[in-house]
Amino acid sequence: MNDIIASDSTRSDRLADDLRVHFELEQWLYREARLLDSERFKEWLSMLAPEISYWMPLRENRFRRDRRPAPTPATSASVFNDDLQDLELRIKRFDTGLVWSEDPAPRVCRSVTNVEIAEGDAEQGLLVYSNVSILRSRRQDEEVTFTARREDLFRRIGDEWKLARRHIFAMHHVFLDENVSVFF
Amino acid sequence: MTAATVDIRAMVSEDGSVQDRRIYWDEAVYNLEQERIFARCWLFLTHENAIPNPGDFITTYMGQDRVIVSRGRDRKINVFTNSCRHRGNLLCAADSGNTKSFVCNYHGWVYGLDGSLADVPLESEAYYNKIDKSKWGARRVAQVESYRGFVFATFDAKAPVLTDYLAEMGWYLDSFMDVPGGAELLGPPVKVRVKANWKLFAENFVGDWYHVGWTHGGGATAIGSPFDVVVGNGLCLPGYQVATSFGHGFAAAVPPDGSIPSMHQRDTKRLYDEFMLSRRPANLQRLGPERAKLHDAIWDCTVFPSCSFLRGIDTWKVWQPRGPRELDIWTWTLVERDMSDELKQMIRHSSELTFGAAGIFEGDDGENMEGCTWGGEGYITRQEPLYLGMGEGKERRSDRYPGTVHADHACGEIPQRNLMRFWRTMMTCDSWDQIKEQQREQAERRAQFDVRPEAA
Repeated sequence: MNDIIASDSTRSDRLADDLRVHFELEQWLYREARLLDSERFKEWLSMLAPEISYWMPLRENRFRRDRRPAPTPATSASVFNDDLQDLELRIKRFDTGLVWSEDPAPRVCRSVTNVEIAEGDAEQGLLVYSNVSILRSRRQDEEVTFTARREDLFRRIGDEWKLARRHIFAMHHVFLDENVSVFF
Repeated sequence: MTAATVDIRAMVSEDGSVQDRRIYWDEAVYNLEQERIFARCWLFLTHENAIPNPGDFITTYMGQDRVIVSRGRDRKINVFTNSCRHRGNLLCAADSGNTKSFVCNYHGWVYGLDGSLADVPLESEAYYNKIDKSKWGARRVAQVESYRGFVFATFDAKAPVLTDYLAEMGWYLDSFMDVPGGAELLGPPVKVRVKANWKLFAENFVGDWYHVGWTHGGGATAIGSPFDVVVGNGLCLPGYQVATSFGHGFAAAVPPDGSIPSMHQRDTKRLYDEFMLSRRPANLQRLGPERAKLHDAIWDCTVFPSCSFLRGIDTWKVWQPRGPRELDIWTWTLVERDMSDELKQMIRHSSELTFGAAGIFEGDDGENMEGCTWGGEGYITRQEPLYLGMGEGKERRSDRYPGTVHADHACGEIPQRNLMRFWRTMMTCDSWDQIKEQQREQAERRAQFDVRPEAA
């Protein structure tokens, strides 16, 4: 009888841990979305690990029978293929106040869903899936919705989760708006 | 307005300096462009390295005609309309791949790599062997040429051969195409849709340095030296503009101190500069001093009608028209074959960061072009002509640089006016004989210009 009670409490401990991690990372993703929607880019940068690799490849239309290897950050045509310095450069440009296409400010709203904690651990990296849908409304009536699946790697640095890698799989081939000026 | 009543001559002034803004708005003008420009001129398709082996193919557009570009078993490049001749369905929905044949999804008609109709299901049972397959192959283009690996095609059998059509621009393209190893593109192309008229991009890339300091002030400030000097349009960069026959042109910024003004940063810049410096002696010997300097410069260029690039950045574009108020921008990266794979991928990343779909420079342009197009929505606004007269009277010729040259600095609208004049020529001339005659007349007028001995 003692053995059964012992194994039950181990399982519930694991479940409590899983729920806590899931909650923390889901909240992390919601907070990230809110910061980006609010153009709080410096705070967003502080959520990223120094080794961040931020990649969004082109989604090419290949036949299902095509045996060519899938694109990688080193071999692909991409929309984003950034390290931390590249992301900082993007934000530096935005902060100049000279980006006329962003003035007046657009209205941007991100919805994050389908959060799943997959495999891994806090030190080496925890793989997290999520979907994001970004509505951008500009000027009078220019609206576009971008949607993507994300495969993220999170590391625990101190008492915070930091994003070490994001691979973004956009649900688009042709991007239906004049520039992809939002972070996914 | 029908094609018969479109008065193109009145829409662009003879010297190209004034335009009726309906050229960016009207359906009838656009339809005439499809007939007179996109069905007759040479259009850029792909680089040969995208279709190296027999059976390789890519799909793209010529105007709004969808085409398949395939490498035959005989290694020839085939270009034909992406359309089955049975009921007209799309033949190939993939962007690229390798195949033995193209099979229509509707009834299973089979086309060969050259676009010929190879097989139809139930040929004896249902067609009673009466179908003449030779009549129902896909429509092939009239001419295909690869200029140093860059594949162009035209539907018009009467169009001059590609080298004649490129004219003086071929000499300039050779600055980076006729080097040991040559040049190539990294693809596949990334595509972005903009609600603007395609010509606004073609005319911007043909010679608009004037907008860099204003439109791109944010990006130029962030990138820093040497580009931040133009922010706010306080000065014009040293360099020159060139306009050639057949509407092509470019503007180059050439630093007098021999430095390499690329937009690459960090390690990319270091490796890029190393590569460029290492090639200087060979380039000087092969190309001569003018083109060796141009090889290292930063330049924008348009090959009429719809192919443009930025050397030193290094982005390659096709402006794919989708009606008078919409286009798709297709973007590749331009590199030299002899560069290491590492440097090529670094240049790709650098060009995507600046002029890719999320480019910190590219992102500024789309909105301007949409504004320029949609101003035509208003009945009154549409009636106000637009002015393209910067640098009027500054056209010169040079002993050492073919074409029309403006060499005070890189800012001017001489290639833009040249592009507008050629647009007017293509739209109003019924035959290539007339078009070539007008180009000859233009070249004769150029011979009257003052000589500018030190063009750059």
